[in-house]
Amino acid sequence: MQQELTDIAIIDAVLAGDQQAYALLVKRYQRYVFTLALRFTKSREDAEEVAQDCFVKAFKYLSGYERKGKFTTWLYRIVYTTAMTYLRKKQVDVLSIDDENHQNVLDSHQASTDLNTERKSRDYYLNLAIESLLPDDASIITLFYKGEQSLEEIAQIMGIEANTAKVKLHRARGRLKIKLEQLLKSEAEDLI
Amino acid sequence: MKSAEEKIWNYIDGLCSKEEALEIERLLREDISFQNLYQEILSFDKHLKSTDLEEPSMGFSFAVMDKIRLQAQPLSLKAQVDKRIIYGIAASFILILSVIMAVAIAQTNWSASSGSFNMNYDVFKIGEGFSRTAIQAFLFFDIIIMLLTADYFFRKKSKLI
Repeated sequence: MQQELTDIAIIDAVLAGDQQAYALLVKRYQRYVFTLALRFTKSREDAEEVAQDCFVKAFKYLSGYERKGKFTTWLYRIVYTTAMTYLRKKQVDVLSIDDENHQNVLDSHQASTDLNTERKSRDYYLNLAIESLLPDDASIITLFYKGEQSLEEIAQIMGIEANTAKVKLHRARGRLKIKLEQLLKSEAEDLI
Repeated sequence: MKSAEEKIWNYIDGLCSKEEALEIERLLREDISFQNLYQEILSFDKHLKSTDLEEPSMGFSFAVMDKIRLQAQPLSLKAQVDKRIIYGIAASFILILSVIMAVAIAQTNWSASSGSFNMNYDVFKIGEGFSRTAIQAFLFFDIIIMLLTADYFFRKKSKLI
């Protein structure tokens, strides 16, 4: 609640003419917006472009935020629609990475990443598994676990029914679990 | 019929009913395989919650603010019109039109005995029941309403994402 009030105070300042106050909102949510954009673009450069575009759009239409729900729900809705438009424009291959590709990605990451601690390793494989999911699956998991959005809010963001969001989340987690198991299995086989 | 996995996810997310929660708690006490599945899903859920967000480049917020400097300042909230005001104006508009129509209809000669249907009423006689000032006020009010409605319509159109 405190967080929400603070967001609104910043929004009021921006609408009153303090353009610099918007930097506070950008800094606060840049990681969330960037992560969500990355779930669609699969490329850091493109995700930065999409995320920047989202913040500019949010600024432009800030007075359109009706304050009925969380500011983040409104912001993520912009991210979702912008990222979907990006996918349609770029016609990015949104099919999940097959096992062979997983292995290639795995090899390239292994060369550059330090995986000494168990925690780091687990996070690494989980992120890799999320990256390999379809954008819808990856974004619903990110919104639920990282974006602090309820199923009703996710439904609003994605323009679907709350029950559909619940089913989608359940299926996305199931697919993620399978992907993670496949990744860990191929890693174990490599070690043998 | 929900699968055991789905039931556990709903339980962890806090989305199941009280009866379902009691049933799951009973299974957790009595069924070892259900307990193992629960521990597996719980660990996966904790893992998902503990993952870090991705970090954009160092100059990200600077780049955004740079782009924003080129944008026009968003409209102040004070410039926005409350929807209730719009609905109120629309209702008044409809009411005024209805009153004028009712007076006009009341003054129409509906008699068919003369063989002709007379609709040639004097426009200014419509206002016989009202004073001239009242009619002028009505017309002035209508113009204001029309301008406000047009302003709201065009503002809304320009705000669409």
